[in-house]
Amino acid sequence: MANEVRANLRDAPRLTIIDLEGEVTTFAEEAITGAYRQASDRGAENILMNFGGVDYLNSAGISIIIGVLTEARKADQRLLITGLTPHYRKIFQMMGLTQYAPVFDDEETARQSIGGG
Amino acid sequence: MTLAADELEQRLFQLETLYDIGRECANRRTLPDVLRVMLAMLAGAFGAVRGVAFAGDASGRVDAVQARGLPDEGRLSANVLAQSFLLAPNTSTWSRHARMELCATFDVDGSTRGAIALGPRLTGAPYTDDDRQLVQKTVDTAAPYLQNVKLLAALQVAADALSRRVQALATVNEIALGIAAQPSARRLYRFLTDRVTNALDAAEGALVLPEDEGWSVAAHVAGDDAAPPASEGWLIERLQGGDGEDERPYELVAPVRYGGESRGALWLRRDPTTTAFDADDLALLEFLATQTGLILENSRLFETFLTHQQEQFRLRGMLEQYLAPSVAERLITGETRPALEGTRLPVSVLMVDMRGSTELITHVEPEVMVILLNQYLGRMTDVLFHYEGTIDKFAGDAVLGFFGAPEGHPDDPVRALRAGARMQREFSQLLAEWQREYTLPASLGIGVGIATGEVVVGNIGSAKRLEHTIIGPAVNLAARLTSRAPAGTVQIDEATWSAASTALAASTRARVRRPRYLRAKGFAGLVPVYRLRPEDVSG
Repeated sequence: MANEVRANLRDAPRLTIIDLEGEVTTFAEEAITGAYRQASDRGAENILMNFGGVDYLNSAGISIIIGVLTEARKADQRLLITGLTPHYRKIFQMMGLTQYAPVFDDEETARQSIGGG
Repeated sequence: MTLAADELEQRLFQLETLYDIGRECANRRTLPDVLRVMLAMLAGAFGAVRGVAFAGDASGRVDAVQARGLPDEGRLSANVLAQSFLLAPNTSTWSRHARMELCATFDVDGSTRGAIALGPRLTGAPYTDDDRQLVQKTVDTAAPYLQNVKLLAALQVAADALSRRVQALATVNEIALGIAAQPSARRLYRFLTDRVTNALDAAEGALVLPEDEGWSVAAHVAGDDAAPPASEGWLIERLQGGDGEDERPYELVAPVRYGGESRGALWLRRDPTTTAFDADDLALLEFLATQTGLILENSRLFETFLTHQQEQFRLRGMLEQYLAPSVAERLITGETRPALEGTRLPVSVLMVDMRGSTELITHVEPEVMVILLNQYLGRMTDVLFHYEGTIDKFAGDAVLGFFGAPEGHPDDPVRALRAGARMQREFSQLLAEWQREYTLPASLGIGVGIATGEVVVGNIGSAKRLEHTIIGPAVNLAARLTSRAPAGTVQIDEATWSAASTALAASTRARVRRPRYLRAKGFAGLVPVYRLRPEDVSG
């Protein structure tokens, strides 16, 4: 299905990574919030959302990310973002997401931003 | 310059949302789903941290509500917000109270209204007038989808109702087709209970019917769910007291009635891990219970009819050994009422006896003798029944019959006379048939005697063996006349002659006017008799 999204959870040094693939639309809510909650349950403090495999993202997708961000802030978790195309990077910036969830070019840069390791 | 370009890009993204909303809503089938999509897309397009979308009516009824980012994400608080707007749809007052910064309203069909409201943006920037217009425009564009899903929901309700009716009719039809195949009342009860249980997706069902004292479980269908089947005692106690009104969402009870009279009850239980019964289920069960009442009444009437028929068949079989089928029928239907036991009745007694039968035994094999005797007795019986006479008994090759009981005719002596003459003619034909196959003694023939008088009709014998017979001088006289009647003649007494001579031709009357006189054992003096040949008697 074209609307399917996959959200795979991956543990990496100092980071819990959610690799997203497919289209991030209204249909993605369950998969993305499910992966985020799973990461929280594992005690993740730094969560990196990797949009490298995302083909399409619409306003409903932005709304889902805002929802995850809100929950992460309440839980004192750091949400980091990578894998965005320049277009979506700009959208994230305009929506104010980057104020609370910094965007990185790659996973390694994101890890370095956390420090301590 | 950069700022203007960013704003333009953001607006383009928002316009893209306007386009996407239509596409996404078109695939949604329910009001909550459409509202969820609209809220998610608008909140995302403007970077809102919270929002609420709802639809309902002016009475405050909320048909659907969706919320994002509310403090507890709770449906209750979203419901309260929605209800307060629907009751007093003042957007500015409500927005302040709900801590929303933008509110776009919609009207689906004049009765359903609603709103989509967005809270503060992640950037902290206020909404501009252009933002407000764009959101309102987007909501206006999506309103038809809201209407469509509402219509769809109404259609679904109608389709569900129709489906239930079809299901009910299908069950009734299935029952109507199946009842004829049920060989017994018990099988019918089980069949009905099984079909009703299936029609309502119940795990267990029972039909309880009244008996002489109290009620009993006529049929009990237990499903394969985990719950143990209800005991019969529990079912009777629950249903006999009309205990169907209490709150048991997984049980359903409907009385079975016919003509306002209680005829039992149907009870159903659903697996508690499935959906509870609702008002529609109750309506369906009540409908099926009404049909059940009708079917049970028909079954009862049919059973009564069947019992009556069986009794009639048994009676007919018994009566037809002695009576003409037409007389037996009139007795069974009550058209004719038999005389009371022991009543004296005027009858004409007829006896026919074979002459030369002793010699016949020496001419044919015993097996042939039996065949010939049966043919002869059959023909004589047929003649007797033709004139609606009654068989009293067979004695060897003699037949004793009478006319006048259990049904009397005004012309019983004439009937007896005509029967005697016909017996002679029938025997002549039979003899001709036999002679084509066998060599027979020349003396072979029959003599017929008829006497008329009062007899007593009744059961004679012991408790172990009773015989329904007639007793009186006419019986004895008929026997004497028969024994003295030459082959081919009908010998009748004075009483029969007096009553039946009108049926004879004038020439015959003249020829046989003068009686012969015989001595008959048991009768004092000489007995006047008249000897006739078959050709003397018409009919």
